[in-house]
Amino acid sequence: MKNENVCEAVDGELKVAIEARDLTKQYGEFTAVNDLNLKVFDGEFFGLLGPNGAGKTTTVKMLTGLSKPTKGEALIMGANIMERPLDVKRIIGVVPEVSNIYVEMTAWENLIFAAELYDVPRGEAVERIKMLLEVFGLYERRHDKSANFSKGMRRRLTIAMALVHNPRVLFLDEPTSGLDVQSTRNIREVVRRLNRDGVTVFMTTHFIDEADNLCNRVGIINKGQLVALDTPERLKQKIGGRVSIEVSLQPIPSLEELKEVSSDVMKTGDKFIVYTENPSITISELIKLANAKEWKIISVKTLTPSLEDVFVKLTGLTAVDVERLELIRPSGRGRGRE
Amino acid sequence: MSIDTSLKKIFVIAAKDIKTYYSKPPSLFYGIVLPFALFGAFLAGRPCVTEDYRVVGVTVLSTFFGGTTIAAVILPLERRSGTIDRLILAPVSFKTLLLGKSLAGFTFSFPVTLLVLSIILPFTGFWNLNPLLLVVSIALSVIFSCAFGLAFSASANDVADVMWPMNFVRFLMIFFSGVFMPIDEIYLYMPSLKFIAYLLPLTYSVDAVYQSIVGINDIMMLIADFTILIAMIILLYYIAYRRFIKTLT
Ligand SMILES: Nc1ncnc2c1ncn2[C@@H]1O[C@H](COP(=O)(O)OP(=O)(O)OP(=O)(O)O)[C@@H](O)[C@H]1O
Ligand SMILES: [Mg+2]
Repeated sequence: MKNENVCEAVDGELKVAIEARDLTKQYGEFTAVNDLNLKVFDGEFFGLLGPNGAGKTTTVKMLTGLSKPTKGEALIMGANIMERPLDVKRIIGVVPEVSNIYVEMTAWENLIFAAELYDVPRGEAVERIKMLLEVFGLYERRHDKSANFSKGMRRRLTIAMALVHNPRVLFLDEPTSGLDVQSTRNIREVVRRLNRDGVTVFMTTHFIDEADNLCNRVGIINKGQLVALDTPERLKQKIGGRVSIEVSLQPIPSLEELKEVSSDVMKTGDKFIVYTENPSITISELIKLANAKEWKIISVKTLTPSLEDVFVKLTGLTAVDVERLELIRPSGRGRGRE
Repeated sequence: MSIDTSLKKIFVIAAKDIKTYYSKPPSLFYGIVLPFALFGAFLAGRPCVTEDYRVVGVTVLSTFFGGTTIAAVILPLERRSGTIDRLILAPVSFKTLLLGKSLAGFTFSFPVTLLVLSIILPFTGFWNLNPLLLVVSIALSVIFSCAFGLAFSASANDVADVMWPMNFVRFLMIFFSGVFMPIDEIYLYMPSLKFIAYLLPLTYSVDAVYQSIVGINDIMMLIADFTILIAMIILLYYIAYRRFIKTLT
């Protein structure tokens, strides 16, 4: 849907789609988001990355008008969401952290209701809804009560409902958290295609791979503070220095035994990743240790910094913490919630 | 937003609520079972007040319980499931949203009350019933009840959090507003406390319905009834609106 009411904000050559100015949220004494400033440009795919409780959801809520900032302002296409809520709401689509469909209604009824809330003309709505149901693999189940839907289906329906009115700016709060590979792929593919067609995307995620692969730019938020904001590649360059060494040993030793080489070691599957400032020394120590313990070295690889390294460094979490938080692999078990 | 799109949204929200929440247990109990149970009690009961008065009591209770319950149940259920965010995120003003919620209460309680009455009246006779006045009185009483329910539930996260305090207030109001017997009789031994009745809006519902059924006996009081009910409705919507907005901070 077009909306001529909302004026365009321009920053140099680029149109600004989303802007946060000194955005702050306090709950009593506690500051959930602190003086957040950022601009997301029209057509950009932006990722907000951060550990649990960092303030990602709070940020999205303030940017979309679900929560009133304690201080600062949120602008969408140059319009302040608190001053012109209806103009802004017409052009944004929001997928909240927790899927929120009406379980008493069918998928079809849910989508029709969403279309009616946004004044999408009936004929147009029906066409679009059919298309969305197809795209998200829900067409066959469209007349089933959504109470019977699996978590992945609910997630896909929630996203479809956010797209019925053709938003120009799409907010997704952890869209793929806790889903299986198939749902995850489906959702990522759809969002990627929307972005290619010009939709500005603001996505929060725990999955570093997801941010790395999808986003043009990434912000890292920790304890309510934005600690980094750049393209994934430049972020990796910035922290340079540290290199990780991936090693595979037989028999597989315990994490503790490898701590002799470096205190910063992480286990991924049957391999280990050792972080070091000085790879040549670490590699020779690894070989020494393997000889002493009579382990066979199956493979050794040095890896240049990943976005994960950036994340680890900036959020002050150790590699082991990240592992424990299951922040790494999208194929890993997600947190058990909808 | 233009008036007609706002109106359309009110209907869209109400229609969805009807589909979604009418079949929930509290709605069924307070909205349908209770009025009909009262009606049964009415048939079986030994009269301690005159029949016309009992008809008025059943009518007002039906509007009051139906309207307050539906309006009070919907918002907490939406908050619980997170679907309320959908409505807040949509290009719909909060006033429109709240009106949609109360329309859902109205379309539930209004017809049920008329139905109960249309079953009772043939048994009792029609006295000096003024149909137009009766419909207006019932409608106002239902709208008042919906606003009352909304004001209670506007910021609640859980149905139980609303129902307990609301039931307490509802029963107090019923007892002191002359729903079961004329206020002169309730305060017979303590006439100085009669002002309590006049502080409770339900008293004016009762009087309006009473005068619509047995005939107008005090036109000034009837005008007062309508004025006060409308004022209460506006006040309660304002409270509901403020409380609703406050949940965003
Ligand atoms: N309504 C609230 N009242 C009080 N504190 C809150 C409220 N909402 C959030 N918080 C706190 O604000 C902080 C940020 O929460 P938020 O939900 O934004 O984090 P998040 O980055 O989305 O985390 P997650 O990855 O777990 O979703 C947390 O410490 C949380 O406890
Ligand atoms: Mg969150």
